[in-house]
Amino acid sequence: MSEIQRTWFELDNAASIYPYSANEQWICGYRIGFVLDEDINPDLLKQAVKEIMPRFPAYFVQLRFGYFWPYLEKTTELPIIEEEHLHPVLPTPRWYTNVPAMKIIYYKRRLCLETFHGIADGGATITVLKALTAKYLTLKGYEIPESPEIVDITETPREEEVIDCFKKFYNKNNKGMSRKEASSYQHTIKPIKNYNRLFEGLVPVSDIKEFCKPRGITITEFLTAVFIYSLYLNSPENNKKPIKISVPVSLRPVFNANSMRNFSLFTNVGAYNLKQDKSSTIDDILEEIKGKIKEGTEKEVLEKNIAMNVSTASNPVIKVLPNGLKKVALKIGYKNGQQKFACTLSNLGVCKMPPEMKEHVERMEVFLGGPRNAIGCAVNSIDDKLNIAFNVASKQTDVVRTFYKTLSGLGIRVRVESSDGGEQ
Amino acid sequence: MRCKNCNVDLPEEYTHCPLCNEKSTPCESEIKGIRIAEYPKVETMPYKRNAFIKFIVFWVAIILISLVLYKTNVINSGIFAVVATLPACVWTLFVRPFKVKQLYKGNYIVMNFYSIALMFSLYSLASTGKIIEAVTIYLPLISIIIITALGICIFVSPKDNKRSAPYTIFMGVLSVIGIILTLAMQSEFSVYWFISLCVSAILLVYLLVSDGTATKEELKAKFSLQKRV
Repeated sequence: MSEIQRTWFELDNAASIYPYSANEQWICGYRIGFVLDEDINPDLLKQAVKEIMPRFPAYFVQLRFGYFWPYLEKTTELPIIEEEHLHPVLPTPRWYTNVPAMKIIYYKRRLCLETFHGIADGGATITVLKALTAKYLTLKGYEIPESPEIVDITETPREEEVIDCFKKFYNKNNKGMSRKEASSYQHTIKPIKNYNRLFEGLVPVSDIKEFCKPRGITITEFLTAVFIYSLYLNSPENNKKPIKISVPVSLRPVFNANSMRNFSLFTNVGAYNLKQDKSSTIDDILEEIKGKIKEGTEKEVLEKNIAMNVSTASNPVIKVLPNGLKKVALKIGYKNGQQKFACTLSNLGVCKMPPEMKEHVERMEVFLGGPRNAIGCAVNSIDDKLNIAFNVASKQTDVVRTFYKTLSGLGIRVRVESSDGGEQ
Repeated sequence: MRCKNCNVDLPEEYTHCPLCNEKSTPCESEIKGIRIAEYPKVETMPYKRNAFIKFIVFWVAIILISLVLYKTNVINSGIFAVVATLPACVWTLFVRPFKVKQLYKGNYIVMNFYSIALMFSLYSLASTGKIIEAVTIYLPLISIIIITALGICIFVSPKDNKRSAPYTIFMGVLSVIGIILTLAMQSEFSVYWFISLCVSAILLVYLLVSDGTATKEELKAKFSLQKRV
């Protein structure tokens, strides 16, 4: 039986931890969405979802727990499609149901997918979102031509899309790498129950490029430096630990893979030489982290990382541990890993789509889940607009405010919107 | 609109800056041509575990502890054991089937039925030293309760439970076989036979619930150790 025909899939290597760590304080999910030029028609949206579902068999799945490992089970039921009425990206119990472990949310012109990270990463979700939006716009009567940037939903799903690419590119002879790493300063906030606040900073790409190009840095490096700087200015006086940011990197372009599951790794980048009197500048931080992201995402380093993770999961003792004990072991490992960085900054890059579709998509939004006592940052761009988004589970805005203020202080124009609106 | 404090543009609709809460200043935005993407007004929704479930889980814990204590003669009262066990039965037979939605509700109920039967057989063994009471009294009694529970499930949501009717008949037949075996074997009927019957019944249910491929796949998934690399 081919992988596509199976009724269930093993979790990919990166997803193994998510079923065990997902709870009220740790959202193992994220939101990716488009803001269109017109209000969403729910009936057409439902029809579009029905039509694209067969093309993505590994995406519309539900989590089940086996005796040794969790797994993903195919389901033909429609996902939850609802008008937004709660705070975004909240933990909701969705196991033990027959609907997929993701939901489609709409409100006025906004169309989002909130997805459990065990199913797929942002790269795969964007593919599904683009296909859904293209189908929806077609049903609305707009002509959206076929394009290499949008998956053809009439074609058969491919085997390469559903397999675990970590195992595919695992080299047994690769000894992997050490997990030893300096722990980072932790910027924790006190989360408010059932509350989440989103901030979007819309920035012209040209402004950022104007800053980055003369300095020979990438946009990701620049934004990581600004994030570190914002955390630095809001850290306690006596903090001696480095401030590190986790930067996920998609492995698809590196290994030429077309996975519709998780296929990304993280590299931790940090500033170690920050002065305690808060006199370090953004340029000091840029100098320190310049080139570090590229180093951490070299193919050799990524291969070692894959080898380390896959060999750990393939350990015979780990394999035969029952779920209950495995949960304890993996959670401890995950929590140790979380101490190595303060926050995550995920740059999903430029979202490419045909011009006929782009004229109906005003912006793209990405919001990370993760621990509710930390701040998550996600970046993406469409056209000339860069969207730098934060989600914060409290009313504290210090780091976010410092971030945007720093950008505007460097001569970069910023427009800020918030899910709480602009009323006192 | 702009916030002079944070030096950022704000949508026209904002009266205050969401970053610093200062009043926004009406002036020309530096970035033009962006429409606000609104969010709905949300009241904080309580997300709390169902108090009833907490109550039931508490009682399940009580019965497990009481069984252990009874076995070690710390609490030597049949009435106490029955009262403590009853919520577990109610929980397993009536609450979980409605609260937990799985693909095959019927086989879930069957498994719980045999779990209860096993529990009672252990209680019977602990209190009387014999397994017979569990099979001649509790097994048929529980099967009647189970059949009623399945009937209610089918009545309440026939779509979810269309597979449940065969289980009803299946459990009735198994209960009769159990009683016949017990009466025939009497003193030779040991706890091991009874446990084997329960486990075989559970496996048989899995095989009967659907066509062979789907069941095989479900078993493979449940017991997967993950493919070799």
